[in-house]
Amino acid sequence: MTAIVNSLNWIILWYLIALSFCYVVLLAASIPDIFYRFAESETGDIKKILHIKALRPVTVIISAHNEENNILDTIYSVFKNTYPEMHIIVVNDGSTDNTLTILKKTFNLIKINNLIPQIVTTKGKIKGYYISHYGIKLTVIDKENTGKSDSLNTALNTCRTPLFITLDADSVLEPDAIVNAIFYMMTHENTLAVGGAVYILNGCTVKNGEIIEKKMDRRPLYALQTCEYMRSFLFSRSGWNMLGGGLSYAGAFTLFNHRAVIDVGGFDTENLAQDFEIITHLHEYMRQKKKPYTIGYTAAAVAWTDVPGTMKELWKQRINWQRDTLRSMLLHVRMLFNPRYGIIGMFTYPFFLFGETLGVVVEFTAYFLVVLSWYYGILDTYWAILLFVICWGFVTFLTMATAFMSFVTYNKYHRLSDLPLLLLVVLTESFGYRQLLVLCRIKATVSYFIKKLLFWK
Amino acid sequence: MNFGYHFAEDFIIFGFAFIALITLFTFLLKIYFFIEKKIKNKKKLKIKHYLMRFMHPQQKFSTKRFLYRLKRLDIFLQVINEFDTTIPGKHWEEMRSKLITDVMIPLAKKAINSFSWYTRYYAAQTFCLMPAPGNDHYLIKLLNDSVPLINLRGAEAALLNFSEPAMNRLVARIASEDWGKQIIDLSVFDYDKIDKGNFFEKKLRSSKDPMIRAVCYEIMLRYPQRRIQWDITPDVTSSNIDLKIAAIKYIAYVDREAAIPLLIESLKNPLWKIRLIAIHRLGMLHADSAIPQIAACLDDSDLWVKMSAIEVLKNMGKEGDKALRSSGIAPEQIASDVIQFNTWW
Repeated sequence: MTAIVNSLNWIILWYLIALSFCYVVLLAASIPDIFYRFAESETGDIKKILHIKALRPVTVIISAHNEENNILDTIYSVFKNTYPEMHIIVVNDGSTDNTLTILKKTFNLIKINNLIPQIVTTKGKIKGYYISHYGIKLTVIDKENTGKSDSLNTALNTCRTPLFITLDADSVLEPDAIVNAIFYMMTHENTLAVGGAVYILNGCTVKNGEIIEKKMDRRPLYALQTCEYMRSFLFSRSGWNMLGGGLSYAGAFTLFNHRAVIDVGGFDTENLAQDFEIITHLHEYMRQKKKPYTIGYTAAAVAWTDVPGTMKELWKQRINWQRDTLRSMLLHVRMLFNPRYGIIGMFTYPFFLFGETLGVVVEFTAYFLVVLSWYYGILDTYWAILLFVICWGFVTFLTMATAFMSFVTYNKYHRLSDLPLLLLVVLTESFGYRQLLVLCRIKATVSYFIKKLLFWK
Repeated sequence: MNFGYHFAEDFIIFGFAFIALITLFTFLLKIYFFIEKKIKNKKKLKIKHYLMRFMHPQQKFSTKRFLYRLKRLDIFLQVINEFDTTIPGKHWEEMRSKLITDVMIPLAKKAINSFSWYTRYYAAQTFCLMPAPGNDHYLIKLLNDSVPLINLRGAEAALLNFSEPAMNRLVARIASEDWGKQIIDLSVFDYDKIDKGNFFEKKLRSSKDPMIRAVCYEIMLRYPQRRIQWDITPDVTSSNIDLKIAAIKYIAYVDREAAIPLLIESLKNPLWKIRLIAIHRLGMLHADSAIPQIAACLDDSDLWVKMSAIEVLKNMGKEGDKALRSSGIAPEQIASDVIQFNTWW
């Protein structure tokens, strides 16, 4: 037993060292992004650079299911965006609340007959197609509830602009978000998708789609998620951006090339992590076709979104994310260490598979071994401390570095006292919250593989 | 066990040192850009003061050495932009011309090879300021740049300088792009003050490539009308949809009588894009004879075609209005701004 535990301990230690090294590389890679942000801030106003007519029209697609409390703020925030050539398609995905009623009343919607072509196959039956009598560029599609991916595909079939943005119905855009995303596209060749940064809306004051006061919600669950999102968007995605593009961009706000998404068959309706899946699919497709492309990220394009407020909602969300990310990773497993896929196949994909998705198995095993060792009286305190320090220490240091970088550079939060709170949360994140998420994700992983095995049998 | 504790100690110290280093680096970056902005503003003031000294018409403008030493195209561009709006007059125009020719263009030629895309962009902007013949090589470099924004400025510069090699390169590039990028590149021709229709007509006569022909038609829509002196029938009946659409649009632009029957025929085309263009163009031509056929499109399966038909009929006087009312659709209920979708076609 001791020999087995020791062997496993060494494997876990080397795994953690390798993972830590990758994170250091990512952090180092994210620093040039800060440099570019500062440099870009003087020339980022695309309206001064391009004539109005030259801007490519964009459709903002919002899929809404029971969003009566948020939908108006989301739409108003889009209208308040400074980008001139913009249209909005809202897909009411079988809401059982007053989402459609509110939209009809606010925008004076009239129902019209329209046949939506099936450029991408969709499942949900369309119940109604509405345009606004006020002459604003808003279309609402009412359909039965078949999920976000199918709703996005339905909107894709209606969308006639060369670019579109996916926006969550509980998100609020900053006024220059679309301009900044388009600016990224105009400064990088063959851009297929541009992901934006997502901050947490809970705790902020929103009025008619405009964020009046940006502050961190001090309730523990929201503060912990703020910490997570910040680490993810200001460090991880920035880093991947410099290394050739990541696999994960926020479904809450991403700009896509319409043609490219149609070419890969639209969004995967079997997958709730459709944002992850579409990006991975685009990478795979373009590498297979050997066409030059860019999938990028800009921290300047910002959306603020609501996050789960209870443990039950968070648990459910993370189980879905883990299961669907795993599914997506295994669907594209041919990319694994395949030189045909360049840096995506040789570094990005393996990292996401072994580091992000299956890393939870290693972490869970580490905790399990500690408990098992203690039970059998063979617990080696040295190893326990070592593993814990690496686990806790590294994540904490990285997140603290990101927090400081964030406050010096982007500084979205108006309240100075948010920084000490954020640092406290960073220090305590690994004492309970992280372990809870590990449990949740391991449950999702195990149940996914069991279902797959049963299905295979 | 001691080793574990020592390792933990070292690790924590390393960690905090790492955080401090990253934070310090970020602060330094912020300070660097703050200072850089201050320096830029100072240099801008210097240039402005220098130029103001020569504002008197009696003064002969001299591009002194210090202007070359500054080597900041972005600052020169800002100053020129400000002076253009605040100091009109022939004297400033002469000074401006000398400044661009003697100082900025040589700087721009070097800047085109810069690693930084901002610098290359400023170079492209410089070539857009005034015609500077003999720079085909540089214009083509701008058109071949990997940054779309620089390509756009390069396209403007190519038009301003009217260099044939650069124009050929521009047309070839537009022909290879998707529709979304074409919208942007074709828009530079909207602001072209000199009629270059001869060049594109010559290209239409010589080129067999359908996409290049389609681009030439699209560009010629932005110049004054000219009689069709080549056989356009193969283009109108082409299997290449882009060429077909472009040719139809061009006929509608230059030859109303020949266009109307062709457009009416196109209303039955299975492709929504062609039906849409046909309705839109019939509306622009005020083709009253086509009202019954346009009214038939009110039942079209495509929303955009339908809305376009409604908008066109609304603007076709009493007959159009009558056709709308007999269809059962009350025009005032329909949001006319939806038809703004059509402005891209």
